[in-house]
Amino acid sequence: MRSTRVAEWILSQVTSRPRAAAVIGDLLEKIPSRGVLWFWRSVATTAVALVWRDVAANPMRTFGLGLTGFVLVLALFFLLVLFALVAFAAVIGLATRTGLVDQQRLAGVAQLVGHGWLRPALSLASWCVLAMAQFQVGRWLARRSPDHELAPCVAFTLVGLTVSLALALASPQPALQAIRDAMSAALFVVLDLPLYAGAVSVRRKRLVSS
Amino acid sequence: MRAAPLLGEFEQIVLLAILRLDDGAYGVTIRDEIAACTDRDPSPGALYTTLDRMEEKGLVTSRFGQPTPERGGRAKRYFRVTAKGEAAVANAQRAYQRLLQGLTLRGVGHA
Repeated sequence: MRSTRVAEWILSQVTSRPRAAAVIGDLLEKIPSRGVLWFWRSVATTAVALVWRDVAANPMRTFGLGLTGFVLVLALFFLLVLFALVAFAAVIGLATRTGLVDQQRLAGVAQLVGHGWLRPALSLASWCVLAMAQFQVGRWLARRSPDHELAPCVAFTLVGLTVSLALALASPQPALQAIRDAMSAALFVVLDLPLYAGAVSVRRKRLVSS
Repeated sequence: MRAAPLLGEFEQIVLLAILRLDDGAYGVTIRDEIAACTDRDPSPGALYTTLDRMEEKGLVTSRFGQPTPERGGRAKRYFRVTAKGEAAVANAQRAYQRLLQGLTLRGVGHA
């Protein structure tokens, strides 16, 4: 069954492959009496319990790594954005100096950036940059936590959620805005997916080579 | 000689269930035994993390059996209590018995 392979893959991210297979085998034995919903709930709770065990085994180190990763993502993001801005300014400067683009056209481009379709395109590009930064930091965190690759990523997510919620609560604003900020904090978890993908890629390589 | 490690309540329950099952102790039978004896239905997550933790402490050992078709070709992971685990559970039970001495509890035959 394909879905059990997916379940086994999920558990193999937080424990060894033979152990993950044994747990899935146990859960499969109980499917006839408990049902498929129970199977998937058990897979999810077991994965959470196993990854939390890794976090709790050495909380200072794990949260230290998570916090370092969080700072690294922010630093990497701002560096990449700065690099993109400098590169953009250099290209525009070169184009105007060589006469490829005149001042009138340049003003048109500036208007597009402010009001036109370029604005969502730029925000999409910045999300892509953030995802790239998260992916690389996910790999970095996983390399520093062999056998427990996802634990510092969970710590990263918790640090990010705490910072977002603290910022939302600290700013004086109406209740609706606070709810919106809390929702964006929840979205932060989804946006951490590239981080987890980076960690999983390191774990997969390690398992293949061992 | 080093004192036997202290055990949590759930660790004691799991160790006793493995001892009762002898050679047939794996995830499913351990959970069933706990449910039958204690009316508790432990979550798989709690059980497997406890088993892993007790293996790291040297209280239990595990080995993989043969893959079976009803498990999608997956092997069972069998558990056995080590001498250290047995000493720890005996120590915990002695402590309970000392605490119960002289007490009369309703529903308990002889305390």
